[in-house]
Amino acid sequence: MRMNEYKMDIGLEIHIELSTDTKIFCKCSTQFGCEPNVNTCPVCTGMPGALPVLNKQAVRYAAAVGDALNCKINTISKFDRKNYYYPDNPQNYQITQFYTPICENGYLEIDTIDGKKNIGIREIHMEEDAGKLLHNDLKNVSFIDYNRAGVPLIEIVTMPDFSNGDEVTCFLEKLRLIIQYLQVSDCKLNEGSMRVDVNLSVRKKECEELGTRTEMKNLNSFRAIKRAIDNEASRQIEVLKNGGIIDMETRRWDDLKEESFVMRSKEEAKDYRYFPEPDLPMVYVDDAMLKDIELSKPQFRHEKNDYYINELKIPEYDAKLITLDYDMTVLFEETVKICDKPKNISNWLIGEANRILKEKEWDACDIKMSPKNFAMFVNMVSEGIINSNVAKVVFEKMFLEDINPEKYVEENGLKQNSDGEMIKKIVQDVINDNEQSVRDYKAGKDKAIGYLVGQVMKKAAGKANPKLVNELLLEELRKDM
Amino acid sequence: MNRRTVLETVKDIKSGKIRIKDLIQECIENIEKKDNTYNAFISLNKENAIDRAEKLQARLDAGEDIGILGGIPVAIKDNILVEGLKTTCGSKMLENYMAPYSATVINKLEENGAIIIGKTNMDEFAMGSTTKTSYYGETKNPVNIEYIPGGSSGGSATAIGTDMCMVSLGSDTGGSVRQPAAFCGLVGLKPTYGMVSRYGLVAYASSFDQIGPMGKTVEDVALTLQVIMGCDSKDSTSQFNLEKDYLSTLSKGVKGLKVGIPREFFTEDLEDSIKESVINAAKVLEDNGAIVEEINVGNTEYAVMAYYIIACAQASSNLARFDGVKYGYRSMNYESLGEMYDNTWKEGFGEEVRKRISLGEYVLSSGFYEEHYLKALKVRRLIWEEYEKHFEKYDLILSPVTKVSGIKLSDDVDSVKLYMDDLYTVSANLCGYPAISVPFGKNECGLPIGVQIMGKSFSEETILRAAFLLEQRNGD
Amino acid sequence: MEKMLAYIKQISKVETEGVLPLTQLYTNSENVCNNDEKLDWQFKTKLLENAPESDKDYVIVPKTV
Repeated sequence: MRMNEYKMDIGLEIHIELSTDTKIFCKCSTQFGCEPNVNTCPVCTGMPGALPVLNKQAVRYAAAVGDALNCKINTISKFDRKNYYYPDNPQNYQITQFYTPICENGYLEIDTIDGKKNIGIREIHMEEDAGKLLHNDLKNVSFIDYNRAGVPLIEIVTMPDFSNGDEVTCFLEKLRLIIQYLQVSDCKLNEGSMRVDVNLSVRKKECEELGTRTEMKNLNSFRAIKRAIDNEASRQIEVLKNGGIIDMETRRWDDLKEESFVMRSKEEAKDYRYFPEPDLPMVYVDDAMLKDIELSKPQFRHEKNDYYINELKIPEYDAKLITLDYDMTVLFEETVKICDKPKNISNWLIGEANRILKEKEWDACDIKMSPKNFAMFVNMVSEGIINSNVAKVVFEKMFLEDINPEKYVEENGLKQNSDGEMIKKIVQDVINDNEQSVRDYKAGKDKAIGYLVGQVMKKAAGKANPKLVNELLLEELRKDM
Repeated sequence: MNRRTVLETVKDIKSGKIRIKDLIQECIENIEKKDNTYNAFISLNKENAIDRAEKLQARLDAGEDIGILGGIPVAIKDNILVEGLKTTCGSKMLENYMAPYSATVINKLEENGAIIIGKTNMDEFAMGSTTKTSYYGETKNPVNIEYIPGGSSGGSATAIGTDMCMVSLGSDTGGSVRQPAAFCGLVGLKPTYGMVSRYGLVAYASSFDQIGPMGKTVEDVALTLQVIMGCDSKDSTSQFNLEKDYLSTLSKGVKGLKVGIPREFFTEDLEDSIKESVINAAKVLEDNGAIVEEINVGNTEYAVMAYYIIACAQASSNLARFDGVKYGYRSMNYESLGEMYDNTWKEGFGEEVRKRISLGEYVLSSGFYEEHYLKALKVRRLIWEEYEKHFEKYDLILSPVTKVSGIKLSDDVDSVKLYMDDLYTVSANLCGYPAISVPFGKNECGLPIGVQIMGKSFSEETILRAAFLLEQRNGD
Repeated sequence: MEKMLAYIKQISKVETEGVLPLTQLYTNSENVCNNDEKLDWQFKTKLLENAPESDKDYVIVPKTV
């Protein structure tokens, strides 16, 4: 990207769906994926006479995020109405926090190529989500599903502190992990529990003042965000170079076409007629709630990382990989609690688990295996009950179906054969049947032993203890030497 | 029915002197006889009411306690939701809207044995003081059919006055319970803001709306208030308050109470007969041991402006949900969504409602918000601070309810003048204070006059005591 | 409407320098709140019944732009 004369200033508006059990202003379930319009009541469908009542858990979650992002948490904050007509908005106003948000003036440190950098958080505020619209172009109608109307959202607004797309992705990845560790949201871009709008402007390197910014929406993956940023910066620079001016507009990113289109111009900007919400009292975050947040603060990624490396003594590479996904850390820690063999456990996670996850395109939350069964498995392997080949098979079964490893091994007769007498007999049989290979080995061809071991394993149906096989085979072979 | 109080009726029902079904039948007969003339009701609940009467009677006969309003017929203003009945708010917009749930106050009434007779006529969406803006026609004053009953709870007042029910519920945002009570010779109370749940009341101005009881006597109103009040987990603005027994203190009198009368209320355009009533009421209170003094209240004329700015602004937002999408009227003239919104608005709402919504949108619009809405909220604080100061010294404030004692149905009153007539009632809504209108005196045509007693927040016990005394002495 | 506007605009005559707007009458911190427990209203039928246009699952409106 030819950015030589210019630099970018980027700010983000991030909407996060909170994972409370109920909506922000009524007691309807927030469960995703239900039949349309079943999670509804008079409040979230805008019936006459209905009134909002605040879900205290949403306040707690919002404050917890603010705390994790080093914000000032306002003891008192208020709700306001944002008035606009749209069918997914049952009251034709959204209850949000316009004048006094719950959190302000925080920051999050990110790593950049030039070292560490603080991204300023201007504010975090609570608001309600709208319903979902489905369109039928043929019949020229839209269908409204109010299940999502009223789901609690927090909006995180950053300062325009980002200088490029990489910083943005780094920030978003870090933010997502924090929010997942706090367990206040699934935070998935592709599912809509995390939505990112990008505000971008460019200016000549010498210029102190920020340029006119545009807003970009419909960014559904980190890749799309990065592409959109680069594309928009280029577009703006092109306009300026040709003597034009940037219009303050809202643009929609099309990831297939890799371009953005104007959605709403400045003139079309709506007047939302904000005013304080009269149906809701002020929001209080008292000392008790702050203390509770402090006490239930989880270890965040770098702390877990350090803990895994220093206390649990697993390799740095393993720790880094495991802590990338909150659900993986849970599986890891729960299993360690049961069988206390962190290095063995992390080996299986880094190796086989990771392989299967990539193959199936799963996230750690999709793993079926329970910590109890995993711990049982790890113990079985270290005790030599099954050999490494069998272990891989059993692991995959357990991973996908959460089978009980002991039962499975028992039922399928997969126990490692460590019966010395029996193996000795098989060894002797193999030696007798493979005169040529024996002669080769005795003549100095060490490779021949591999073949002989293979034959023994075959005769033992793959279950023989490989170490024992090697030992006994060598013993027998040396007898005649 | 027209001579008995609610308490006496409940006693007679308990003792078997009156059968509940007969009482309800009497109401229904009055409705059938008179409502073509008076038009107090928009919809009726006849079959259910009779059915309920029979069920309550059976329970009573079996020795059960059917509640302190056991068997009493109640009428409900048509902006309060009663599940299974239509709720129209006096508008075309909700002509066929079936309430999917009941307001909290309705549940409370029914748990205490009340029987809902029907839904009463009102100014459209509670915006008015004549009941003439209703889509369902005008209602007549029960004392004289040439006159308006007042508004916006006109139907609720007339239903009582013509013995179609014994008590009723109205809603008061700027005087809509007290003013019709005054015009119809009834008692009407606006409780302290937050005393009574608004859940199930179609919102007009969320900061001012309160559901209020109306009845023939102070005792009837006090009893009804006791039933409907209370903090509600479904209304965030409802306040925790202790159980009150207002009946036991009604006749405590007014000895030692300090009463203020605002000088500024006695303007040129205040009718002489009303002035006389207030002065006489003051005398009665004095004769009974109260200390009555004149007080100065500034900004009185700005109170009405502040009220209309805030009320219309909130209404413009509260009524936005009536868009033809999820319920109610939807225009048939549209090809696009935008047209559907516009035409539904134009065709579903009456002129007064559209005017107030437009004003509301204007005072909230960017560039005008500070000098209108925010300004009105500041003026609200000034007025509140001033009254709070007075209430440090005084227990009650006595004033007129209306500027005139009778408006003929055929009179075409200028709308701004009508707004200004709300002068005496709006301060109670702006500041959240409880206020009661009690009949005291008549004008030369024999039309009833009401006087208003206002107290500081949660002082219902005191204002009821004073009203009770005035009621006893009315006509002396 | 102009008459109404002219009338209410007179409020500008009041001196309100340094006065805070009054938006909430009560400042007690004992709020009415929900504690994140579900309540199933079974509201779908009533919602769709009242809608001017609906099918067995959705409320229907002319297509949004």
